[in-house]
Amino acid sequence: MRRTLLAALFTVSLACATSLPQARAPGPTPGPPTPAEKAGPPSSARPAAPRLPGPAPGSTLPNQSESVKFLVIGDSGTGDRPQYEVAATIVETRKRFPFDFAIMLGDNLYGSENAKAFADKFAKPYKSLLDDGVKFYAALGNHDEPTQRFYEPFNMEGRRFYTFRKKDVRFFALDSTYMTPEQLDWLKHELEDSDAKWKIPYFHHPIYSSGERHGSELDLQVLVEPLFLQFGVDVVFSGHEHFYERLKPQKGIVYITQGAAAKLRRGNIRNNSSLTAKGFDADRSFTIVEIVDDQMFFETTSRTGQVVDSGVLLRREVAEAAATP
Amino acid sequence: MTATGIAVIAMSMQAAAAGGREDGDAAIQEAVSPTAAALLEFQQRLDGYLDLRRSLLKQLSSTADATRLEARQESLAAAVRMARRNAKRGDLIPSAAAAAISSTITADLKRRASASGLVLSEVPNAPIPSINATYPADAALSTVPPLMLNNLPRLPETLQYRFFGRHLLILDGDVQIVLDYIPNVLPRTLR
Repeated sequence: MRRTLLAALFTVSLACATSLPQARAPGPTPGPPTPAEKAGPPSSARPAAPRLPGPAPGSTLPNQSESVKFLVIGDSGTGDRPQYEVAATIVETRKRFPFDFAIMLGDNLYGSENAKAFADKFAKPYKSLLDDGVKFYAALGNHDEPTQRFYEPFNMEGRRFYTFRKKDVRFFALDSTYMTPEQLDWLKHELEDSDAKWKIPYFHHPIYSSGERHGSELDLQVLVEPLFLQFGVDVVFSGHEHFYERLKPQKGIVYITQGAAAKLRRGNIRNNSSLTAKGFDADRSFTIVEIVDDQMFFETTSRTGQVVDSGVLLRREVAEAAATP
Repeated sequence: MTATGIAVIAMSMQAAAAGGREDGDAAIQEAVSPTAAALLEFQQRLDGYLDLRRSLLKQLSSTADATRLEARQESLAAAVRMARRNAKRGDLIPSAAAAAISSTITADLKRRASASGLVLSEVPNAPIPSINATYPADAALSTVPPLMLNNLPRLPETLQYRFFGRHLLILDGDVQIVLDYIPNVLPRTLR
């Protein structure tokens, strides 16, 4: 009963712009594609950023000036047309919702990791964002060489796992492809030491997943979930599964899989999974997030600009306090 | 890592191989010493490789220029290959340590029973690797299950265990070079 009440309080409201079934989207045919590369006007010709007017039409995000805004992409590094199309939609989205940075959930580059690959699979698709000063913070996936940590635009500071803070939100980028005891010790120490209101780990392999291809990473779940629970983690982002899935809160923590920024595994979310709150596996997608005090607003948009999931989450500590009689 | 630390890991590996029983069996106690000695030798060889790496003076560092990063990586890789041009299997992993590692992995997989296949689903199908070969660019890096990794001897920061086909590699991740491997450590039924 208490857990049900907690879940209800934690998830304040959910709005969905489309009428998708819970776990599986119908049919494989999305709307007309956006242009493969849609360049905005040069930075020098762009007017100064206006004061934010509040929520954009059709958006559930409050778009406040002092909030923490970021983009979430995963499994993006293909260099193929869908990646560029998703990137173009992201650029359009940013015109109304100017996020400052992005977290990358791994598989940032598929195949060779030569200079051309960095260009074709990262620098070019996201050129507009990079030119505008958006910082990308990458986590490593199972298709990523560890040397990506030396590529400065990934902001990993030479480390496979690292942490950074944005106002009252601390992020923990982990290397789930190689979870050593040393990394776990580091994570425990950093979570314990952090006084940030929001604690958001992100890494490649989801510890809860309804994916038929991979599913939940149980070893990782055994090792990291206790730390998340003990030290007040609120939300966890992962990739690896090539779809979008927002899971029902697991012991109070919301897990979001976003592995569809370029790759897609259609129809891969298990039907009738008891884990799924919302899933989208009919097209590529990305997620934007805005954190305002104790609320986290999110919006997931498909390659073609359809909002496929949105809502607001209450910070776990606040939700639990509210639930305590 | 100190000799005491290695002894602790050796005991942990032995316990893991024995299914974690805490029965103080004399046979287990007797087996600790040879395993600890093997792991100590393994650690010494790893240290030797790190010393070699450091001596090459071509360490990687952060850069915004992907071309420069690629060039540095290739330069370091070439230097490592040249320095280890006569390397052969078993140079880094002594046979006794390889046996201990294999036992640990086998015991771990037995404990997982039916989930073993899922755990190792990312392992690329591959022929037997070559020493000093480059890890294939189009092959994913298999994720060593963290609970298994916890029971294996620690590797220095730049080195990683990776499954490749049925084999366990020691890979220098910064240059993607296969330094050594243990063949056929995974049962045939899983691949």
